[in-house]
Amino acid sequence: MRATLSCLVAALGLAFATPAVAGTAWVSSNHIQIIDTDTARVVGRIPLQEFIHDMEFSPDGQAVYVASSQAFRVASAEELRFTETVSEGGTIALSVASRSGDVVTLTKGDDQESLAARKAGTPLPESTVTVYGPGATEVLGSWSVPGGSKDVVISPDGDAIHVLLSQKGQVLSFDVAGKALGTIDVAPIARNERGDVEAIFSAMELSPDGKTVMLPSTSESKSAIVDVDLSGARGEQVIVQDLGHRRRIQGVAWDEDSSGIYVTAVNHVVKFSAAGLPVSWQRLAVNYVDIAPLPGTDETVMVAPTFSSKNGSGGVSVVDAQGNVVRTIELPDMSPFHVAVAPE
Amino acid sequence: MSRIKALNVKAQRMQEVVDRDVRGYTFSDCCSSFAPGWEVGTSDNPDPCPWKADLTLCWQTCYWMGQVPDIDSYGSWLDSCGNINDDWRNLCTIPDNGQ
Repeated sequence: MRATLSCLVAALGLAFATPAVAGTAWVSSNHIQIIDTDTARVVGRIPLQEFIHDMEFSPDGQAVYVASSQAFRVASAEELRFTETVSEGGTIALSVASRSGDVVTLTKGDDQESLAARKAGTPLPESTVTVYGPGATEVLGSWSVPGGSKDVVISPDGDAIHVLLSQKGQVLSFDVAGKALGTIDVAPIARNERGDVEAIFSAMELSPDGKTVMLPSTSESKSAIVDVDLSGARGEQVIVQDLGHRRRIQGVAWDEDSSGIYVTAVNHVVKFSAAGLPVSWQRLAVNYVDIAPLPGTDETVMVAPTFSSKNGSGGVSVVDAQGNVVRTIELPDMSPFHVAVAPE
Repeated sequence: MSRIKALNVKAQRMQEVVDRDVRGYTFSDCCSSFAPGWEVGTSDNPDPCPWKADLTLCWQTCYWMGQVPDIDSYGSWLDSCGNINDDWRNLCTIPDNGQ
């Protein structure tokens, strides 16, 4: 009887001590806070003191890969702590293959060398793409790409890596060993005398089925979604969908079933169909800069670095398909810029 | 103040001016100024884009007019900002003499 009671007490203690991974959203600035999306409460906090550029869950939801200004790290989603520093260096983007679990990171060149190159007007030092096996315990490939590359994505099976060279408006494709597979011009617009595009290409998002990559683009005259077909099934590989305004696009996330993408622009959220057509457009009172769909629902999680100017706080909101904020939490000690939602 | 009468034309004009307590630091929805405290939209509504929200975009792309360094040369610039609304005072100032 005493043993049974002890087991029961231990089990209860474990249940309370270990927060459920599913139903949580990890939000970040220079540290991470973990939000329960059902109750909109903070259930954990992981200090870091490094600005976090990207976060993504492993397909099984057990690990969270974190790209920061100083390193590439792995955190345990159950223990809510960093378990490993995989590599040092400013890691500005990462991506996880949804089926194979491979991870790819993009590490920029040294700060001082970049500053010297800026002053001299010479090309930036090269960035590095590294592909890891599941758990980031083994390096599968590593190679250099032009400096100034801003984002990287990996196909669901881990067999193709795409790098965004934003200044040139190009996506460079590689296999896992770093062999170049091709270059896609994603900016069929005017360029300056250096061949640079005068528009923001800050990120790209690969559809869950790996067939399409979407790139938000903002220039002085317009905002657009650049729809790139990777499957070869479409006649026209690159289609630029003009959004008809020039609000800056900030956050982009595919719906889990590849049916469309969510885009946050200044004080708005838009859902586009996979064909690039806007299917809903909602005006919001707060400027949310990143968005992620909640698996198994039609809700999304959005983060606002400035939720209340008066309180000097950031915030996290759960928003339904009609654009109504259904739950929200104000974070007095954080201005979240990124969000990653745990898989089901 | 209401009991003070304007004695000349210039003073009358000053009295007639509506004292707006906000000043525009944005063009369209683009933040142009690193001047916290005065963020308003184009029609005097609360700023649709507080400069804090745009800081990373300016930092990472060096395109918009926000007066921020570029991520390639100053990769640690935002490391000390957990809550940018309060911690922006920690941000280093980039010398304008190129050093």
